[in-house]
Parts: sequence; C-alpha cells; structure tokens
Amino acid sequence: MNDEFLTKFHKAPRAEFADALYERISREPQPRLPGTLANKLTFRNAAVAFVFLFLIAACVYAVSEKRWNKIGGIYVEVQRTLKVDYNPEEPQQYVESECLSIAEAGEILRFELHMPAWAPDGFMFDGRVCGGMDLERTSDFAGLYWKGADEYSGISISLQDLRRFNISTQEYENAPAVVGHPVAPGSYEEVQVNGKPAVLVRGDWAEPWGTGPLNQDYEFKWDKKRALQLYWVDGDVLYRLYTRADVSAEDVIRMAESAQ
Amino acid sequence: MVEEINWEAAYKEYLPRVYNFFRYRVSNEALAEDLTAATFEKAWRGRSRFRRDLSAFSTWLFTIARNVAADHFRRRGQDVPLEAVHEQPDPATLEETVQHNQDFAQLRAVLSQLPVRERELIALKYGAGLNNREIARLARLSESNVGTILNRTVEKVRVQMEVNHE
Repeated sequence: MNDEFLTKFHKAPRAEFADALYERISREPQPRLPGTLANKLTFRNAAVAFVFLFLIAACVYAVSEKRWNKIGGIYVEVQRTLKVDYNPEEPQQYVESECLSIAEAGEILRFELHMPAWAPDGFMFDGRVCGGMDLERTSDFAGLYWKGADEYSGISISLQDLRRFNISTQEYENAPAVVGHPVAPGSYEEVQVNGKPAVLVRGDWAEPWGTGPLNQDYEFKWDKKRALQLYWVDGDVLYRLYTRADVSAEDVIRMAESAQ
Repeated sequence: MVEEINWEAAYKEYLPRVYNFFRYRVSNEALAEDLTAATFEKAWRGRSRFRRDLSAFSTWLFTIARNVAADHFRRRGQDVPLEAVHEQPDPATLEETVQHNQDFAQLRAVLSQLPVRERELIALKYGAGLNNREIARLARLSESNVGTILNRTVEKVRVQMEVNHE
C-alpha cells in the first residue's frame, strides 16, 4: 500500500478563478476610517491619539513580547504564555506511536537516519524508531528514545524531513517552510553543533494545574527547569533533542554532534 | 527577522495548496473555490497584521483556511456525502476524465464519513502538502500523533475505497 491514491487528485485552480480572485482582492482598499471620525482627525487630535497609541502599543508589547527569531534555519517564536486552541466539543485523539527497527525504518524514511553514536552514561537506546511507522508507506518523521533511570528521565530525539510536497511537480522539494518553536523570553541561546548554528532551550511549557479542565483560554506557563531542548538542522532534516533528565548542556550537544 | 509579504509570490505559491486543501475538505468544487476565495480575502484584509517572514506564512494562511472551513460548517452543518462532480474535462480523453472524476468522487464520499479531525489532517497532508510538523503545529497535536493518526486514517480510507470498488 502507498498513499499515492490520495495525492493523484490534485488539481490546479481554474485560471479564470485564480485571475479573477487576485484582481478582486488586490483592488480591495485597506479599511478606512468612517467619515465622521475622519473629520475629527485634526493635527492636535492626531498627535494625542499617536501618544496614546504609542503607550498602548508599548504596554501590549511588554505584555505579549511575541516575536520571531531565526537561528541557523530554525525559527523560535518568543512568547510569555502558550495559548492552546482547544475546542471542548472536539474530542482529542491520543494514540500510541507505532514503531519499527532501525533497519526497517531505513526502508521507509525519506531521509537518511543519522543515529547518535554517543549518549551520556546511564542512557540506553531502546532500539526502536517510532512515530506512525508503517512498512508500506514512506515517512517524513522519526522518533528515537534513550531510556534513563526511569520512564520520565530519558532522552528523545525526533527527526523531521523539512522538504515539502510540491503539488505542481508531484515531488518533494527543499522548502524553507519551517514552523516556529514557541519558547519563553530568555529561555534560549545560540550554540554550535558540528560548527553550525543550533538552538539550546532551557525549560518547556507546563500545564497550569488546578485551573480546571481544558478550555479555549487554557494557557501554558514556561517552566525553566522542566526540560532541556536542542534544535539543529542537518541537511534537509530538523532534529529536536528533548530531555527532562539531569543532563548537562555540554552532554546534550556532544550527543547531537555524534549523529553523523 | 521581519519581512513584508511578497503578496504576488505568496498568492502564486499558496493558491493551489489552499484550493486543494478545500477540495479534500469539502464535497464539491464550487464550494472549494468559494472557501479558497474567502481565505485569501481574509488574508488580504489582514495582511497588515502579518509581521512574520514568508517562511511562516503557511502557518498563518492555513490557520485562516481552517477558520473559514469551521465557519462554513458552523453555518451549514457538516459536509454531506458526495454529490455529482461536474468539472471541465482536461485530461487526455473523456473516458479518463470520467473515470478520474468518479474516483475522486468516491474518495470524497469516503472522506466525508471521517471524523472532522481525521478529514482535516488528510486535507492538510494530501491536499495542502504540509508536512507532519507543520500539521502538528496547526492542529495542536504532537508530530508522532499526527503521523499515527494519518497512518491509520489512510489505511481506513484505502480499505473503504476497496470495499466500495468491489
């Protein structure tokens, strides 16, 4: 089985539709102020409004402080809280990951699996490649896990093929479409993995326990001691190392550098 | 890093992806065009609020597309099973066109029976061409969950397609 039967129905939009839509929206002006309000925009009122807007913007920025930074092809999205877009009417699905051996996974992964040759003392690779593995389908994702002293103190590394399926050429192509990784202000730093820029993150988002069931206003707070994370890119593959174990940043970077 | 959107380039690249997202998400071509148009109209009006560089544009645009789909289903109810597909013949022969349309009609009928989340993941993966990481970000699921759900859903769809074909 493969999933070609799902991709073969792609179709380009009708040219008339595409052209008409582009013309329509590109001619649409930016929203304008109502006339009555516009009439009140004297220089004095505008100056006062400007000062107020500046103060409001400064306050909003100070509260949200949300911005994007790019480090070595990795995007981090800096924000103070992480809001979950959760619809209580929509059931969440959490299912167990399906796994293969390294050799089996090598058959279906769209990229070469570079395993770390070194891990800190006390951590043992569990021998599986997980993440929706199916021998009859190619995969753009692999999850690896090194067991630690207990189930909460291992080291996981996920690998994600950054290439994207181009529906015009029906091929996978190298694409810069990398989603950002939300982190808290001051939680990350640029480091080097094999001479290339990487991102070391100290902490992770934590559930606000005791605030009731999930809802649309559910917000995660940053816990700087919760985890240690390292993001790096090798070729077309984004690596993410994640651990809640007591491992130093030096060891995490050493483990990453051994994956070649 | 902040860059303005190159709107023309973005439109050229993302129009087919958004359009195919809706073709896999809803059950007729005209509606897919309408929702695609609504997505780009909202994106155009809200472009001044978009201050990220182009590489994150897909996340922003498909968030709008998902909201447009959700609004549509809130107003009109969930998608109904397939109606007849009327399209302009463009493949080589009329016979091929008819068969192609029938196959896609069958696929849409199967997709319309899926739970909302599964159909949306299929549309994001196979219609919009997003990878699992991008989908995970949009759907607020882990990447491995996305992979596993997609895996099972594809198998479910394939089996149902075979049953329908027999």
